[in-house]
Amino acid sequence: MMKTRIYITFLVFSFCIMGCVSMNNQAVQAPTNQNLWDTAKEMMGEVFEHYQHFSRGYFSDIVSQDFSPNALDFIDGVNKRFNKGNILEMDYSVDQVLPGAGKFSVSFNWEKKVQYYNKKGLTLKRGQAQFVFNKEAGGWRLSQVGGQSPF
Amino acid sequence: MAISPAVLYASEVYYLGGPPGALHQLNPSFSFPQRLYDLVDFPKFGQYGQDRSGEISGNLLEEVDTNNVGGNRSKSFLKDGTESLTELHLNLQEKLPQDYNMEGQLFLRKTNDTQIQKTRDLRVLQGNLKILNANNLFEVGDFYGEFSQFVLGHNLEGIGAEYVPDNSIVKAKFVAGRSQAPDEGADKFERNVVGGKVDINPFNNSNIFSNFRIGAQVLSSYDDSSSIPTDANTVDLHNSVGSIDGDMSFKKIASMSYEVARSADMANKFTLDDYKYGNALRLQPRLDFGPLQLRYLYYYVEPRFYSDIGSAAWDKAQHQVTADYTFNQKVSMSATENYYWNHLKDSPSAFRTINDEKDLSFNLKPLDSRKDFSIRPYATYLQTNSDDSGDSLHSTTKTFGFTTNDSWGPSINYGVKYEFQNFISKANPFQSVYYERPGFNVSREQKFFGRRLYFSFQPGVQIRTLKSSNGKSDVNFTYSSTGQYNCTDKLVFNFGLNATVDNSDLPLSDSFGTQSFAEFDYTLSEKRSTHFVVRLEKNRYVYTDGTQSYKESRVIGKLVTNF
Repeated sequence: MMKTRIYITFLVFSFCIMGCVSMNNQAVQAPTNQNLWDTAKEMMGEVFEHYQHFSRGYFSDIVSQDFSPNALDFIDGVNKRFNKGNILEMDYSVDQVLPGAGKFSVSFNWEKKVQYYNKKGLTLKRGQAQFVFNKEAGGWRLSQVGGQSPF
Repeated sequence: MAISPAVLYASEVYYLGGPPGALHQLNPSFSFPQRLYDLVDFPKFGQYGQDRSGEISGNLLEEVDTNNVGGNRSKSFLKDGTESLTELHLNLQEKLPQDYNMEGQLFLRKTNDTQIQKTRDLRVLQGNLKILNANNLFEVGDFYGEFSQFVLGHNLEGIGAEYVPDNSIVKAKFVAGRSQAPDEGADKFERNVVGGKVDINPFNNSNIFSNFRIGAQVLSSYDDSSSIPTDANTVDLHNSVGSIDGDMSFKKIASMSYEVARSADMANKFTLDDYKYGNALRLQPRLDFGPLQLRYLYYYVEPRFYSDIGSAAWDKAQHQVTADYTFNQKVSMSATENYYWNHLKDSPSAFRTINDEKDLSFNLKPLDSRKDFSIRPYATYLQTNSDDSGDSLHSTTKTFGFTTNDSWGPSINYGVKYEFQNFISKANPFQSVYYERPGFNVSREQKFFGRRLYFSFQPGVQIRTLKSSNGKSDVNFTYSSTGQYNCTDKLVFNFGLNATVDNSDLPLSDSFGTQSFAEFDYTLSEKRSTHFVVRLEKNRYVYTDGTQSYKESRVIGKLVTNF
């Protein structure tokens, strides 16, 4: 019964939206807030891609020189923890994207599947964290990690 | 990643002191019926000019997933069965009398997917409303609270206000709200926050300084011990931090940022502990000689300093010097000396750890004939010592690597990376280990049956060799490929495959995993970015001894649109 309701809701929504869409033929631009969410998701993807296939060279490129408390110490820490195992899966779900002056913060839930070198079998981890990205000359850079760090 | 200025200003326009002139314009007058009509005039989607009083816009995602998990289900994040996800973003813009504007955002989610959200009810994950002009900002709801580094840099839920008078040397900010909602499951009280900040710019039109700011801020975080039932694990924190910070830039060459802070912290009021007081200091002078830039950081944070929602590494003293030098358009370099230690006065650590790190990297674009060709070699040397008997942490970590990127013709991009890292423990030689990480990536865009085809490949290897393992290594091979084919103007086919092969040094611990997907994305409307997506995923993980192996398959249907 529940499944049927879900599918009916899905279909009704689909038709409503398609109906709305067909009404309008005018030039558009994407909503402001959506741009920031898209940018946030793109940056999150980039950070975790460089983390999962870690090399110090590429990972350093996405970390701001103004990382707080310290960029070099943060990269050392991530490198040290990465050296303990292979990251097989990294999932995340964004809850909030909030703008600041020349920056934005992203709050998210994360899940990580790791195979540690000194331990048999897979280890599953979960947490909630917050990233802050700064706008710099070369693009957006990770400038702060708060909460339960996924690294 | 390059972001267009329009996107940047879109996120900054809410803040005072944003793009010049952006908030100084007087708004036209609108009748109440006109205001109501403009708000819901959805056919005028995206057209928010001077003639429109307001706009509601947003984005809707409707998704249904069916998951099938087999094997050792405890190793999968997925759950068998059907899950639904609805996400709605609503944006409100409204021109108010005079030069005031109102901006609002709401993000709602309902799902039965516990991977995304624990509860099944409709959750308001983000909501805020701002009223602002060039001088005043008032916001209520969720916002990013920011004072100075040691004091505040955290999402808050509550109210915030900012005041920037015309032709004044003073700016003021105020926040009141909570940094943490009550959570009985996690044994966390509601954590309230209240604070204020004042900035003074006494030399606005100086011939000597291009910027001279002194700021003072104070913030208090305290738990509400009545917000959830108390048990043995709940902690009643009371934390206050105050600081003086500033920036000072001369017209030429020299500039400096600084902050000095003091905290009063009671980690848990239930234990009837006393407040602990600690100090923190950072000094960051900078010299800019054109091609040569020198930066220095002095960082000193006492062990008793604690900032609940600021950013500080406690029990740490640090000197860091960085020199960036641009030789010419083809060659630049960056060198850093980073020296830090802990075990300051009142430290809980049993002994002192001293780290001495040297970091060197070059950015090279050596070929006039190949503008996209770049190579970045880098090297890092980190030595760690401790002052306990036997120097138990004595170790060195040496890293050398390079990354290179290039394009071959207009349609092929490729990159190569290699990294070697050697950790040598003098105190425990059996822990010494080295890593090798070669990798390669290539992507190509071409026509295939007259339509655009894009694909990429990214193989990589990580080899870990313990020096005590008689030449045996853990070898991890990864392969990642993605592709996109425009079947028609409206239908896009996306596909991908990730594979991981682990050849472990531990007995019966080898594994093999694949993650693959195929996705059809049909564009219903380009104007509103309306897409209907069907995605199939198949994941497999096979472990040598069979106890960890699992399989996952998913079918996902998704509709997403802006309105």
